[in-house]
Amino acid sequence: MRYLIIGNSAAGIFAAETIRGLDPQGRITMISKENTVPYSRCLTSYYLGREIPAERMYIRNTDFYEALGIEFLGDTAVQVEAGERRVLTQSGRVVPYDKLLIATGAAPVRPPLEGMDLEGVFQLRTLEDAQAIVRYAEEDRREEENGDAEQETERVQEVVVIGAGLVGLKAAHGLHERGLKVTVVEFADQIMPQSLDTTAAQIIQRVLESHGYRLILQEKVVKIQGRPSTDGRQAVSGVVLSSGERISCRMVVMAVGVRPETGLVAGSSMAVKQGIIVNERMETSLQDVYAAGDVAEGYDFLWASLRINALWPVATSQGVVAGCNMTGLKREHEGSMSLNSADFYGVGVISAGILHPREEHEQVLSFLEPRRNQYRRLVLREGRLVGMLIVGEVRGAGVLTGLIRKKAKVGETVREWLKGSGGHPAYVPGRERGGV
Amino acid sequence: MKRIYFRVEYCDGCRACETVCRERHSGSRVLFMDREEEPVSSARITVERQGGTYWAVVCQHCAEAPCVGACMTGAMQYGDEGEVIHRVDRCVGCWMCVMVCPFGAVLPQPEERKAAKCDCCAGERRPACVAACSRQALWYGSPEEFEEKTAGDGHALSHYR
Repeated sequence: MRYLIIGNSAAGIFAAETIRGLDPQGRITMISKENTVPYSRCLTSYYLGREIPAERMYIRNTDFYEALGIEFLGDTAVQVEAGERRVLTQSGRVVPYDKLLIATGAAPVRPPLEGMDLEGVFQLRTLEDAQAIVRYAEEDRREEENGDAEQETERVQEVVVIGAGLVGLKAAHGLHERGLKVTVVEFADQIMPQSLDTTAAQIIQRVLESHGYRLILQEKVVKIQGRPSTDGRQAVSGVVLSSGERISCRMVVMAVGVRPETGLVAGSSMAVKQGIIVNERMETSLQDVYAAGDVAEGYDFLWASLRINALWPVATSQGVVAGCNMTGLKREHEGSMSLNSADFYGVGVISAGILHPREEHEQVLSFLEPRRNQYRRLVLREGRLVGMLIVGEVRGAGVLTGLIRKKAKVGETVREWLKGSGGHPAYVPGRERGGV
Repeated sequence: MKRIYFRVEYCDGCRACETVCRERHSGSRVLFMDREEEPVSSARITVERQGGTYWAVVCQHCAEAPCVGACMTGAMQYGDEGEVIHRVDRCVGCWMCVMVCPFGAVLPQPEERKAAKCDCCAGERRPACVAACSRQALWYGSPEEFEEKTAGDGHALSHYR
């Protein structure tokens, strides 16, 4: 059996390991334009902030491919020809397969903004992106050290991050840890609009502001301004907001979302909405072609519809299911849900599922202790947990995630826990024994 | 693979397991000195009370562990016997594992920015908590051994609900 996996991030790695575990003899080929040992994209901001050294980005041993007997091609897959069971690559390779997994992930959205092509405009997705940011920041600093005093007044150690989603804020955090002055501009009326409600967003905003971040909400960057740089190109000198305000900065990081990398199936008959549509076995609409991870649009069991949850745990679990089915072992994915976790200066944030009730029969229970940065919010649908949000002490959050998954009825214990008793949401002291 | 079993009927909530776990995972490994350490070590097994009943919460070393799938740094991994090991040096404290552990057995350590969980006292014959459990509510062994031991026992395994 010839397995071909396109992509070497979360879904690709977990699929490859699963396949190798089930089929020791099968021939596995992996193609990725990132010619590297598997690393974690989620760690790029930690690397940026010098919180981890570069080598810790790699989440598998350096002999990963050899140890699993994988043929690795550092190449870009440009077209899937499912009829011929082969994949064409940029360098002209024709790679045949019996079972194909598309795990190409997603790419940052590049909005059509004036000044996008200036030197100093970055995105943060790949290791290469992170390294480019580091290089630029270091160069900039050197330039400043060598510059004379007059010029120095023009040089601003400031960076503007566009977008205050999780990626934008993590990028901001990394840059702030590097010693840069960070401004984040967000179009919505709160930070992390996808994964937090207003109350939680305000708590995190206060935490970030107390560390010196500037957060600008309900504003758009309308233009990135340039200045002549040393090498004759135009480099970033500032941004102009919709309010007319100008913020001078040396660097802009775009973090306005990602889009599935479906280019290699464009023009084929494969069913694609936003992402490649997959069923519970991670099969696409074409025979022997599977998709998993950020590129796949699979079933969200809370929304009861197709939805892309571009998240690490979703990608790994889809990769495992795809890997099983590719070897012939039938496995079904239970469906995904939105799940996010982060920590900002010791204030943890975890959110899962549906945060904003849509229907009348949905009920919200919440508990807020602003001085301790503690906030808990549960969304119930007919007595069953469908969403949760915890700020502050996050211990036991997984119990609630588990309850959402199991569609369990929520009893007194969770309600008691909500009211601020510390510890474990499944057990609350002093109550009679009963269901959670 | 051997794992730690808990029989709720036998537990009287003495919390000896918590104490020795904390000691075992401290720098000095001496009970009366570990409180002086910075940061203070913490137990990876916790005893939760609900009404008159006590429950030990500890890593179940799941066969297909949500924490391993959620860990974005490769810190949570399967060991050679299928046990779940936590490579602390790789952990960055993102709490993804905390977010998905349905047992609440992965504990955030905010001061260290690291998660912590049971390692079955790696390298030792018997985990410290099991050795310290005078009522044998905690028990260590393979699933087969455990079934054999509890066969005919009036108390069936009352696992987490």
